[in-house]
Amino acid sequence: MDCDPGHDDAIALVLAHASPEITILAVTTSAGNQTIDKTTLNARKVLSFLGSDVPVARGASKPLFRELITAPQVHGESGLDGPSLPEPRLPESPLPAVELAAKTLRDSPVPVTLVPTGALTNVAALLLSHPELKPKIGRISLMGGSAIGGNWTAAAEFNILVDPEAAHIVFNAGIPVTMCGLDVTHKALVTRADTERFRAIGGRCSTMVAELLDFFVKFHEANFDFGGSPLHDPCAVAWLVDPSIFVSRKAHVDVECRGSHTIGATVADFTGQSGRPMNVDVVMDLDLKRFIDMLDAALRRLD
Amino acid sequence: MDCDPGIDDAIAILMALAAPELDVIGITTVSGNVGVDTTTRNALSLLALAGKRIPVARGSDRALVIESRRAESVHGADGLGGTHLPDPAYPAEAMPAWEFIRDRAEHFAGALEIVAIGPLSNIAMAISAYPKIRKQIAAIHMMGGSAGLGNATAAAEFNIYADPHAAAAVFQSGIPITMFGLDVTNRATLTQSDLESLRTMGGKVIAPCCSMLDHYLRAYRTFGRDTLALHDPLVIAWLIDQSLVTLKPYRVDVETDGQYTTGKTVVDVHGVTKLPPNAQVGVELDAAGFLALMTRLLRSYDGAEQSDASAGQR
Repeated sequence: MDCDPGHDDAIALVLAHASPEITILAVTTSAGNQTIDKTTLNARKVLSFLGSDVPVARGASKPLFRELITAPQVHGESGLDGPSLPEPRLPESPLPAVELAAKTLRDSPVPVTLVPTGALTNVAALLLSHPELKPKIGRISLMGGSAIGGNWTAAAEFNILVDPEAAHIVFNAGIPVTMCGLDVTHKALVTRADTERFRAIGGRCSTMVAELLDFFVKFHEANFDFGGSPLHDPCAVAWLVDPSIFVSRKAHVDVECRGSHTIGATVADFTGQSGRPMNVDVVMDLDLKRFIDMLDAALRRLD
Repeated sequence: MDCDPGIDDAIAILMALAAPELDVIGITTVSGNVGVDTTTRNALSLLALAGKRIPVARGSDRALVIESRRAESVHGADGLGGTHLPDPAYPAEAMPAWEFIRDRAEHFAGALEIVAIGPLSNIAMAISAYPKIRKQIAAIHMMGGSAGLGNATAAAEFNIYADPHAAAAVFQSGIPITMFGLDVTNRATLTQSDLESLRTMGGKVIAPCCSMLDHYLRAYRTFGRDTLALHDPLVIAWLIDQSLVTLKPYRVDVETDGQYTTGKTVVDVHGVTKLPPNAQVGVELDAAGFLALMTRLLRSYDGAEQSDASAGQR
């Protein structure tokens, strides 16, 4: 998992950790929701809190070519404002992110799934520097992009906007991609009632998640009219746990790296008119009740 | 009406000329679906078919900046799917389209509404050369763009893709804009069965319309669609009955510099640009009401309106 926690990244880590279908081999951090120092600390805090002993490695401090954009208005100054998590027990890996990811792939006897829920800087750097390891990557299930509309600009979703060139490299790597973009994540809405349902479980993990959501919903209630808060990143994990709760369509996806109004837009060609390979499963819809139930069940297992 | 007939343009023109609610004071033509010589001749032939005498001004034969892009694969080399129409009864105006637009904008100071259903080259030229007319044009009602996917490319709708710089100039002009993009026009559909019902009605205008639409439906089938979309006619239908389309105010910008997105209308649905809206964008459609209105207008050429008043009641 490559992430920039981030409230929804943290919940994605919780879901993956609690799901018997998934074994987390390594966690690498990216800069995006907050700076790399903060996202790395946050990843260690969340995984320590969960009792995980997975290696955590620090990733790139900025996008491949551009200056870093962060999102303190969504995630607060710490990147994970809300719950007060203890100092982490888990150390930071001596390896940088790309090297930990490469080692993990090399050591695995079976193909590994990458789950990036932030900007794609580390994943692009991995693919560029270790092309021989591509066969070890079975699939990339990512949160990012959208077939229709953006959330940070009118055309672009935040994770892709932060490092569009990295996204271009990842989408064109020849590896199957599942794109959980805004098309589905804007339907993966958690309400205040759901938050209370999680809090009522009464354990330490469910309380922590409820406190994350308390903070997260404030931004969305103030800025969007969704009737809930989109749990973006957990979708990329939930699709791996149970793809049957999602609906996706094949497309060729290109990433706009130029453009006055469209930098960071993921351009989805569903009809094949571009004549390029249908390289992406674009996730378009989900069964919201089963998604919330999946989170609820995960929290009950942990607590 | 600024147009590039074009099969769906032709239906739109015939609807507008038949509508007692509308006063079409001129038609300007532009290169788009086919070249401007052909679109000009087609406009004059459609007027001959309708038995109307309205000035036609020939417009731009190219996009402002980029190479021309055509849609002959959809509309046929003659723009009307090989349908035979009467010869023009009179020639086009001596003045070019952009001069005609200026002249009419000044004449009707504040009351001229432009229905733009082709690439926006003529309108961009007029408002660039004569900036004062921006205040004299009451509104531009356009078929173009999309808040979602494109049709000319994955990102861009044809009319905007054919002249993105012109579209950018129009959206930046401050003139009130109503945008009917693929979000609604792709749902203004006609099935083979609808087409057969129309053909059964017959009539001097409906018969050539059905011939054009036969060609149009064949073209849509080559894209894997089983119904055709009546893009341009929707603008006319809405002008007559504004309950047919739900509009929402959005900021719209046009991409002119993208690698994959040139010609995309970037519609700020969530208000993230914090810029004030510059267009009313069609988001929902009463498809059945649209089809009923179109049918009523096309039938009216044969005096069917009085004998079948129920078709107009919704």
